[in-house]
Amino acid sequence: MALEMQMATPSDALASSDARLVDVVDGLLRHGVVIRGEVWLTVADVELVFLGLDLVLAAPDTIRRTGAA
Amino acid sequence: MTGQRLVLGWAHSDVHCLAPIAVRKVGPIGVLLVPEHAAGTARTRLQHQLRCFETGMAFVPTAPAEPVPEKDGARIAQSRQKQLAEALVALDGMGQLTLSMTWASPVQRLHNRTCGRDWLHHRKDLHAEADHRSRTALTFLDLLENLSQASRTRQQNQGVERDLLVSGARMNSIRQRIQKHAATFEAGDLSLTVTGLWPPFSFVQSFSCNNGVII
Repeated sequence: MALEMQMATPSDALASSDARLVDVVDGLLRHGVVIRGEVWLTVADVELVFLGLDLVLAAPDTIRRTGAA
Repeated sequence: MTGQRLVLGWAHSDVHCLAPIAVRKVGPIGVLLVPEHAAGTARTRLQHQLRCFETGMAFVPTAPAEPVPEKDGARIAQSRQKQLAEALVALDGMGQLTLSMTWASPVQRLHNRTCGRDWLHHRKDLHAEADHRSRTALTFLDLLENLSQASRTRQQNQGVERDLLVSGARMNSIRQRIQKHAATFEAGDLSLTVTGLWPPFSFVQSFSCNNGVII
């Protein structure tokens, strides 16, 4: 089966509610200020527990002023 | 409303922008500024950055989620003038094409498992499947590697994303090349989302106000 493909301009992506385009825009908005960490606890090659961490980097003043980074 | 202005990025000092974006000249560098009340969220800053980028100007963008005050932007333009000037030359006519390859989540299928042993075996199979999909996605993305001057790859839970630094002037031929490869690639349930051109966010280093910039 050939690869299913979707192309969008930035304006289309910003205006869209399509989940894949929303994810792309979210990735751009997180860029440079979120460090993402993932830990999988695995036994015999079976993943049992997943720990996810998003670390938001911002000055305290920014967080106080905007309520979020 | 504070009257403060936020930095969208840096460009050559002779660029012209439409309101509400203003240019503050610091030597040969122009600091692109927007009133805080007109760009209070990361999304609105991204929209303004896109407007600047779409005029065709060479442009070093800030991270949209990081609001940089005008005084810090001017200080960086002063102290990192040489690096900014070099980056503006390197990024002239270039933009970021984002390729996102994703696959369906297997979670629903796991919910149907009632026996623990069965669940564990099935979990193991899913892990192998995800590995295989990730390798397949990277194989496809590697086919496109020679379209760009630089690339950045991010692995995610249900996909792989790669940003390519490409010339805006070559976009039509690049789109055709991607479509051609996609039409002949055996991809199972993978899907590809191509967006761009974006300002080259992944090819300028994100910075705090104390250090800087670039590629």
